[in-house]
Amino acid sequence: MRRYTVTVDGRPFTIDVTETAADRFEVSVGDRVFEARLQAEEDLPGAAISPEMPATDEYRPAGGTPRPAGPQPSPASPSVPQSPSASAPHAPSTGRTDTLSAPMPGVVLEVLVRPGAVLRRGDPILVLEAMKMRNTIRAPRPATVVEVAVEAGQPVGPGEPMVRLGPLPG
Amino acid sequence: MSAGTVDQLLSGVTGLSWQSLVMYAIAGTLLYLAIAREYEPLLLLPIASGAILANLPLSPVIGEDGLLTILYDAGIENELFPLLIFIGIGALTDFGPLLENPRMILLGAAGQFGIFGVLLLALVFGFTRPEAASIGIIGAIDGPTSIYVSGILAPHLLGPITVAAYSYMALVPVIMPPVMRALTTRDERRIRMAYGGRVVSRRTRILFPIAVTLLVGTLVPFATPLVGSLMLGNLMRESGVVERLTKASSNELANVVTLFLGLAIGSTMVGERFLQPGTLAILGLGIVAFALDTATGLVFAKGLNRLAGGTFNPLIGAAGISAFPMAARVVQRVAQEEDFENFPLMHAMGANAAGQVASVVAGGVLLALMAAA
Repeated sequence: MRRYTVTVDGRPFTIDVTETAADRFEVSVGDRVFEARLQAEEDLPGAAISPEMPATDEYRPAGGTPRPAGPQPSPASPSVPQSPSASAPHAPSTGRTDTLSAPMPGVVLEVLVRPGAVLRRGDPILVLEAMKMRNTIRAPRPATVVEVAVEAGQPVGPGEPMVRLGPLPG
Repeated sequence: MSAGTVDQLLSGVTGLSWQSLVMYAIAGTLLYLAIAREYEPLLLLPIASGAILANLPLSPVIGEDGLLTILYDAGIENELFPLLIFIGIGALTDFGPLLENPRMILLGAAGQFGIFGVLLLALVFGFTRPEAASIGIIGAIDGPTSIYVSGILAPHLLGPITVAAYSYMALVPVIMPPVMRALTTRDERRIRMAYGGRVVSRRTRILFPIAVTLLVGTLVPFATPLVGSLMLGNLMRESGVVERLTKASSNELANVVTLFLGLAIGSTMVGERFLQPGTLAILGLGIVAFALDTATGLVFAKGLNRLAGGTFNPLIGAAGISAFPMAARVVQRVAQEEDFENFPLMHAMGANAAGQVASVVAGGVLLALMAAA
């Protein structure tokens, strides 16, 4: 397990990353645990990383949700596809593109959005049937749909990318 | 025409009793719930029809060679029907989520507490020990187990116990959420759990029903008929080589037996026996058993959450009962009310499948306790 302590918009986050498979990571932020899937790993020479590592800092689960509202970068969102180790240190300043992946195995019943659709947080994106139950997958943040990677009737495994979300237009 | 002949012709009308009228009303309510509300219609409709037929004056379907009596003798008195239903349930149940997450078996066990709590409560209310045990088994929230256990221990209470068990099964989405909200905090309901995604091999899936049968059958011989038929159905499903038998068990066999079972149970709801203060007490205690199951499951899961350092969503504890897969769906729904990005469904399914096995074991334990007493 690796622990990253990062600051986003002045708010500190402690992120624990456990490698569960070569391309899968369990990422816990505060009291929430996400599964992240590595899709690409690049070393960006421009990104200067200067970690200050207070290694003895004791980990305390935060009470509330650490997710910042709005389109600010949040390195530990469940939809971040890259390895958190790659994305955490450099916070992009102009929007971001990320992938919404299946939270559990199931079958895509309906896709409710098309590429280009502008979503508010909570807007339905698709319906995923798991264990005979219809589950609506909603937008985790305001975003534009960049790409829909699944179609109705398609089975998906946990962590499989379903929709790519980009920054809001303008 | 003599007065005697008129009496004879009108014997149906004169044979009407207030009890049968009340039973028509009760059967009518069950029919309404089944048809208009679709509450467990597959069971409540035959049960209500059986009850109407049994309460008609001088009903020829009851008694020697009566249709309903034949069905009762053929499959309820000797416990055959609930066991045949269990083969179908086994063929329909996917134990995968439980095998992915075996610690959920603990929640299945915690979800059975209502059975024993209500057993004690029923003793306080003045029921005999076999009666109290049969009432407690409503807390398994499992129709066939309730029929099986009360058929052995207290056949005279079969009607009310079965109606309670199936009605409360249908009311899972109504009864559980208030208890769940009352016993968990908002932060607890928002806990997200990583989906393990462990792949369960075919060999594990096949060995599971065999191992459970051997283990439970050895530890609790009284549970052997229940667990044996449940796991037989599951072995057929997971083996993948007897698809015809799997389909027949989960469709044709289960459907035919459900019809027979419902009618025969309805036939036990004869007014004179059903309309007693005891029936109301059974219905009341049944709901207590259900709420207690949910509550103990939640409290136990809160303990697990404490041990796991806040990473275990206590709502999942409520799914450790037998009503599969409704209980797990309710967990998913309540969790999503707080956070639409939270999907504890697969974890809840694991606990729910565990509850299915645990309730069968609990039924066997009850029978063993009563046989020893």
